[in-house]
Amino acid sequence: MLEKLPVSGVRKLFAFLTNGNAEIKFHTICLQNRDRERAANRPIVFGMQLLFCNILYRLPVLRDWPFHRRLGHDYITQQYLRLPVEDLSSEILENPAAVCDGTGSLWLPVHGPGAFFAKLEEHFGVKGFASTRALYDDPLTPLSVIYDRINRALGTTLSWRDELPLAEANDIPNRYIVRLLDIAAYHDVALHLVFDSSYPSCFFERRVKQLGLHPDTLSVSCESGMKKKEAARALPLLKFGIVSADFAGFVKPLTHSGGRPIYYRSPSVLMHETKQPPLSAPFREVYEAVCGAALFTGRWRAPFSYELGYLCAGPVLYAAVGGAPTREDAEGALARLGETGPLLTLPGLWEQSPLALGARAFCRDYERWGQGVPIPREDAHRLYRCGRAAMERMKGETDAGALPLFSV
Amino acid sequence: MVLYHLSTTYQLLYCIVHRLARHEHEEAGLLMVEYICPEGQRADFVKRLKDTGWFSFVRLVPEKQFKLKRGRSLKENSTEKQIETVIRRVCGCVKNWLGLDLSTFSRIYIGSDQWSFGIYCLYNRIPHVYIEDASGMLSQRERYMAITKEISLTNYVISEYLHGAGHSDTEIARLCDTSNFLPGFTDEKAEDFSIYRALRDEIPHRVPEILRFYGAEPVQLPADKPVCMFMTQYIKSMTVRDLDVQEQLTTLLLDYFADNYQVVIKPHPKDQWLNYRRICPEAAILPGSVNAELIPFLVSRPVDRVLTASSTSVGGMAPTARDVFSFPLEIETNWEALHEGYAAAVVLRVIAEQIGPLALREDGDFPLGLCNFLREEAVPTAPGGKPVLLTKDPMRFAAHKGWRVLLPEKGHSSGAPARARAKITVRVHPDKTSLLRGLSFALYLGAPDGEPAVPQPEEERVLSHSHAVIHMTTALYNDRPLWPGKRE
Repeated sequence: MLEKLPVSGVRKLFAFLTNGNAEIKFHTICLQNRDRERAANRPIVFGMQLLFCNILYRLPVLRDWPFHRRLGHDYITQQYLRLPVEDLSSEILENPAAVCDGTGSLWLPVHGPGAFFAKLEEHFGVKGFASTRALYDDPLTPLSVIYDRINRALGTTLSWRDELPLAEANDIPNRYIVRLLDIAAYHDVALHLVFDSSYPSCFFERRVKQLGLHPDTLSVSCESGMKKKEAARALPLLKFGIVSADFAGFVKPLTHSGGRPIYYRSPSVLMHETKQPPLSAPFREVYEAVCGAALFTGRWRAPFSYELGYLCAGPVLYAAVGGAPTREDAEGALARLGETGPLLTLPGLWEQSPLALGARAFCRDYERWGQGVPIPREDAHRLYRCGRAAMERMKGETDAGALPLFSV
Repeated sequence: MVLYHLSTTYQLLYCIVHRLARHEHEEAGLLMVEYICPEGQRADFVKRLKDTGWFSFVRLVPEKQFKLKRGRSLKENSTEKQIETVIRRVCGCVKNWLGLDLSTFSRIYIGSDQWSFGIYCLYNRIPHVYIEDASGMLSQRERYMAITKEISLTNYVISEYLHGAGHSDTEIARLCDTSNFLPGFTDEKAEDFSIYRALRDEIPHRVPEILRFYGAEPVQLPADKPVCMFMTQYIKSMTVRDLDVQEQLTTLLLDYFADNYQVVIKPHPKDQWLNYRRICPEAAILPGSVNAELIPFLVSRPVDRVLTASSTSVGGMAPTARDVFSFPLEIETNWEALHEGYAAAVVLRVIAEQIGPLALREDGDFPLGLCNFLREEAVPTAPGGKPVLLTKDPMRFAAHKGWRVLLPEKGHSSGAPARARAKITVRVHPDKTSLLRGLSFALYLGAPDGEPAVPQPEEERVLSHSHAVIHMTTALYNDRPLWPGKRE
């Protein structure tokens, strides 16, 4: 029946059903990715599922209900199934130019502004710095001016340059989006980066270059006097792609200006939407950022056992032995914990099991990106208990042969 | 009149050359799976092909439309009834669309028989000639079926059910390049046909018009360096589907095997995602659409070396290049083992400098690509040379009396084995922009008891494309430890 409908009509209907809001946009894409054959072979069923997504993600109570998103129970990677970057790239190659707003997509911040300012306060050792920094924070004002105001208010002589290394260390580069933009550059798509930030443009230029990207223009709000949306609109572009994690503030308004939306839901937001056990606030923020960056960027599809090892076993292992555990360390520490169950099998399967590999990868990544935030023992145990039953089922898996070895 | 069916760019060139060389005085028709080129370019592509006059008709098989009509997709556990239902629907689609009496064709050549037209012929037992999908691929059916499975599970299930891909008894012959078969492989229905040999020996006068069709411009290469042709791969036919992995693999191969060469990159026709301009700015990059078999007719100088991770197209270049460096499929998941292969080759080279040609004795597996590294490092080997044992087993190392090297096991070094004379530490230091991981491992060297001097490999090599440096340092043992681990 569907092949008898005009293609333009089907496309319009599809666009209507998949562009309602950020959640609908993301989850309908995942739905499609989970079974592309079904979308083609069972169009009516697929249409009904799209309709269901539209209802589900519009109703206030239902939209927050974690259907198939319970940490330690559900295979979450399968739920948040993005397209492989080489397939997504066909969308960015449709236009001669692309704009990207960086934060949340190109870089994945570990701490939000509040926790980051608190970290700065700790670094500078000046009481009241965090609240003052938050008070004067404005993406249209250069960092040097903000620090002049802070120094006047607090009677200090702090240098704005000291904030930059910490800001850099707070961002996890997202290889998925880096690769997307690199593919675009290879095919001569002009690349325009816009940032809402108080940091100088040279700060971004250097880091972008380190990622192997060479944008045609790079605009920062504190220097251009325009926020990212206005800066993108000011570019002389007729046809362009929009790569962003900011659906309401960037993707949607620019789509109305003729851009082709390539919405990238931030991995840490996905972790936040996953039902987790109660965790202490400082750890939860970092845990969500690190796990999101490792598992849900779209760079690869982790098997369920690896996901469990990363999300549930990793924190316990890190809390016990730190960032670079050897098999012997793990054996000793886990025995001291008095733990029974699947965790004890990790040392035995150190090399072969995706479960152990996932747990070790968490330790490595948390050591690198965890910002020194310790993992409370109770939180680690809660996470472990969440995944215990599923890990028990998975612990026999020993085929880690084709798992990539990279870090986040 | 003959009929060709194909789905890939390799098969297209194969069919063009076969038609011009073997059926020059007959008419020929061509069916192509529509996915052979992107949607927007199809009409232009078909027009250009028709304009050459090589084929009486050129038609695209509307696979997407057939897919919508054929109903459910299949899985490996689908029942026979389900498979039969889908096959009958596919055959119905093809029959309605085809409008040709296949019995009027003197020969039907089918490449990629997992697509609808191939299914139709296999199911209806229509005799045909099978065409392999890459040079020598007939000898690698398992690998070919794995690729088919990744591209379309339904097609894979049907192909297995109908015993396609070079296994059907309705095939009267199998066209293939026998010179690139895996060692030991034979097929009684194999009919040898090589694109390169046909172009060189049978129809050299048609080469210019074929190059014109592909829009292939001659490539002028500077004369001061030997030429290394790097053949890339399609990520979707590789084991690890990550472009970062493919980039690491590419840069490591260029660093280890194309240093001091003029690099020419030949992208796979579908490899559009790695930014080779950034990865290797000094390289000449050929258009992906030009098949490897045409390259010898295109570049201004002979190719000295062909380099690839595990591309099947390497066979197309093999007849013309001085040497070919390719690797087993394992490299796609274990690319870091290249460091071990390099380190082992350097150690053996230094030993050979001291004692002359070596006769290597393997105990278990050699490090990945060691044979290639031995050639690259010009390690002299000869059957009657000084025996050297390569092993990963510390006990075996300790028990052996002559020259021996203990290799790391999967990148992890064991402790110092008994009777080791030197420890060679290898460290890989990536810089901030590198995709490589920092690594460290050790090799141990043993010598005959009476040997007064033990070689000390010391080497530092810049891996410029990988943005890393690899260091090798040697520590000699003054006394001889008796048991593993005692000295460490």
